[in-house]
Amino acid sequence: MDTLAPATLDAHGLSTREINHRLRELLDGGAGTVDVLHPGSRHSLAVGFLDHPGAAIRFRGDVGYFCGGLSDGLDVAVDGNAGWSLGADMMDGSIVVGGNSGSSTGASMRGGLVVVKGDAGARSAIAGKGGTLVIGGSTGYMSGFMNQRTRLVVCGDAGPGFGDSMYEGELFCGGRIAELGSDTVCEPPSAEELAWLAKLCGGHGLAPAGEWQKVRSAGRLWRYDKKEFSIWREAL
Amino acid sequence: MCGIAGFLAKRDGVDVAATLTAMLAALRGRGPDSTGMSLYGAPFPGDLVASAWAGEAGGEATRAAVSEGVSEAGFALSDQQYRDGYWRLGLARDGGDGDVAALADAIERSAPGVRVFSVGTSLELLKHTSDARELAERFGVLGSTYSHAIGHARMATESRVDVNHSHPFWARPFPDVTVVHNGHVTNYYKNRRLFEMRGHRFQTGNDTEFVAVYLADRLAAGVPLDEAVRDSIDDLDGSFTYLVSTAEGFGVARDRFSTKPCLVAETDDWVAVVSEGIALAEAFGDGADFDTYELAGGEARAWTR
Repeated sequence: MDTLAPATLDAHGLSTREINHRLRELLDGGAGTVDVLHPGSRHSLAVGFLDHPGAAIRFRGDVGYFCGGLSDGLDVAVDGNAGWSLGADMMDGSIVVGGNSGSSTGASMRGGLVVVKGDAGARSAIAGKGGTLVIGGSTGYMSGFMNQRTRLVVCGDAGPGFGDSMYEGELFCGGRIAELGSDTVCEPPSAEELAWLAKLCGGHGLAPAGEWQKVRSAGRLWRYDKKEFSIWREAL
Repeated sequence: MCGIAGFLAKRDGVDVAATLTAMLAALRGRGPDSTGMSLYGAPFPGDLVASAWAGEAGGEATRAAVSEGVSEAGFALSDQQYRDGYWRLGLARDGGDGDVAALADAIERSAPGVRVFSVGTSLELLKHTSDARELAERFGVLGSTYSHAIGHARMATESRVDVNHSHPFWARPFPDVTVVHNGHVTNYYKNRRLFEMRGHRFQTGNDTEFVAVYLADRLAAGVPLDEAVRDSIDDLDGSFTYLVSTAEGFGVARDRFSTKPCLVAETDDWVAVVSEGIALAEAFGDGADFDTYELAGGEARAWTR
């Protein structure tokens, strides 16, 4: 097979294990891109691909849970919708979903870029440790919860508990925030950040529903004496 | 875990039974212990239809005893179909006051080992420890015409693995109301005592049975289905996604923490509610073109034909 040659894999009738095995074989054999037909919403597709940086996999349909999770440097595209935990724990690379995604999108992601052009479920970027997650529509309850370093960009609305108990990282919302989480600060983004948002979102054909707002940790719960009940009460 | 699915046809000619069977078969991974379906809208002779489980007790003597029990409750058998332990009984009012609770009690009292799964005006309730395809074939579901249905693939966590503890749960004695549920309702035990103080008798210790009775009680009080499912978000504690069905349609509710999945897909012809997209892919193929979205935490919806 020629280096970087495209390949096609028809997943109809194959198990998840067989699909991932065939994908590895094709990439190991020199395929630069693989088009996967009939993914059938199966879970755990393209998970744990560590040795194929720059390779591209395009799923021509819906995928299930954990798609692209734990991978490093893979570029994944999903023409349909994705289930829960899209890109969970991914280290580098990209995932672009044309439709919606389920809950826990980008959970604990460490690097790379995840773009969901539609809506995402609850707990997007929960415990995020790096990378960037962009949601073209809205996201649900407790998104950004305990975020540590991920940049979460929500073009639409954010559900209650947005950024609750986050450590570092930054959340941006272009729509309505139903309710800020505990110990958060909401402020206008800087000019540099607005330029970054415009470039990032524009590059994927996305735009904010309204004015961008930035949410970060207020840091009041990072360090406090357990006797200082007033700090605890105020932060919560 | 557990997988739930609901399918409602907006027009005649949509195959509800085959679609629900395919969806539940795909969800088997979430619930390998048992499968159940509430199917609505099939024609039958009589005023009510009862689904009962006789298991190995379903011999001729049992059938005769059940017929007597039905008669004692003021009904006459207008039709009966028996297949592999499962009974579908068409019932016509015959001078009695049409008391559904008394009817269900009379059937069970007449023949030890017989359990009434449901009574309704258009409801058939089937459940078994087999998978969805085997259930549908064994009990002759495929090929029949239904308006809508809900179903369940169970992974037992709260109570034993047997037919009686499988979903759907009928809101006994409220006709036609059944529930399938993924999750745990944590305040059910306290709340069911309030119903018991009013004289209600629960059949199992399962939290889902309480959800069914709680909703049916609200519906019987005249609360519309969409309002009843919305209110349940505040009244029920725990992590849950459930589907409740009546003779007219079904509703779905998801708790605010939204830890149990719920996908909704809708076209001009039908509405589907499933735990996972894999159920939609199995039923419609993954080339099908329709919008799918996750029900938000704290959101509830209802559809009627």
